Amino acid sequence: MIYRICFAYMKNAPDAEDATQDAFVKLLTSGKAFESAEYEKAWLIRTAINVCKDKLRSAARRNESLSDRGDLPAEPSQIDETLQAVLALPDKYKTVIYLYYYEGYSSAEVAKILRRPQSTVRNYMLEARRLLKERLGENYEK
Amino acid sequence: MKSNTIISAWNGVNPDDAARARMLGNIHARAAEQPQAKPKLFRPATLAPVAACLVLAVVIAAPQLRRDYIDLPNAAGNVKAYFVDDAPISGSEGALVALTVDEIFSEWSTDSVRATVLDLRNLVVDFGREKSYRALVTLEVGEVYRGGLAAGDVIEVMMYFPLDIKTGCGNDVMENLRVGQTGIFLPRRYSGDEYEWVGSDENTLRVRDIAEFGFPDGQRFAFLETDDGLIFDRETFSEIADATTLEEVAAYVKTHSP
Repeated sequence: MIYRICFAYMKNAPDAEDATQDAFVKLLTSGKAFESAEYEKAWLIRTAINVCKDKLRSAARRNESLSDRGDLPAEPSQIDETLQAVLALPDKYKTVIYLYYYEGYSSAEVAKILRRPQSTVRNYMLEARRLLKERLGENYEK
Repeated sequence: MKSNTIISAWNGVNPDDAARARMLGNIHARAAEQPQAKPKLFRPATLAPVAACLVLAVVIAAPQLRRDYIDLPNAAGNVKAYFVDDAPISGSEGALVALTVDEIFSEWSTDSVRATVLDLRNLVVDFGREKSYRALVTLEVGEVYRGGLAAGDVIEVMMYFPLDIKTGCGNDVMENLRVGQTGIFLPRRYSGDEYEWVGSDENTLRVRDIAEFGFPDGQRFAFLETDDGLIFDRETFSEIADATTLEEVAAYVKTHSP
């Protein structure tokens, strides 16, 4: 899950791996005590998102491409048209789409994880579905 | 709402065994190097569950476990609400409450807006001993004639009966709602202390947990522009019974919107 969330932001395997590792290292060194596994998971998701945003901001400030490195692991084997369309969504929509459709969270649960009002999450999903329909046509929800 | 297309697309984003091993090794090494507030030993025995986190397993759940629940933070007892794709369609039920035109606008101090329908979803409110099927209409406000909304606001309005979303037709005005449609709407704003329950009050719903607004019935609180022309309750709004455009309706609604 964390790797896929990172991939949604970083859009390439090497940077997604870096961000995933950073998120888990933060978890292991945080010393935080969580009241439940679900809280821990939600914290890890938000941390991963913040790690990705920091990396992207930092790269933008240095005006560099993050993936300009020699020892790059292989890209995921299949990035099809649907995934390309999802990755092209604004960041706030991508995570909602992933958590809702792929991980099976309800809109209420997504709202709790991302600490957004439920109506905001539903609006994000609405807008994301509209954008995906524009790009992929009617059948992407089948 | 499932999307096998999106699920299949994400299945392609899966680190291979080498990538997983690399990440686990790096996480272990980096965590061991850093000062920790509370040491978390990363023994090989814990690699399996961490690897499980990194392995993006497909979530396969029985349909009933994938319900899209609506958070009800102020409900009492065991009330649940969740969206459904299929709902028993029977139209709005019961006789309309007798209201004059003035009362339609003043009874609940409804807002008056021209808006576009962004989404229609059916839902269930499960009170335990009884389930109530309803609909949630998402509107984007275009023009405001009365009330505190602003152009661009997106609001959710609850209806007390489900909609036939697939066909978008029926006898009542609201049964003709379709996504993308424009209309003039008179939603009422729920107060924070409106509650519902069935029988005794052990299972109680705070209505605003579902939506901030509601339509009191399916007939008199919307004027819809459809492919078959303007649809509204022409008998109730006899003054504008011959209206054919939303502009005529807007001029009329403004007279009731001080």
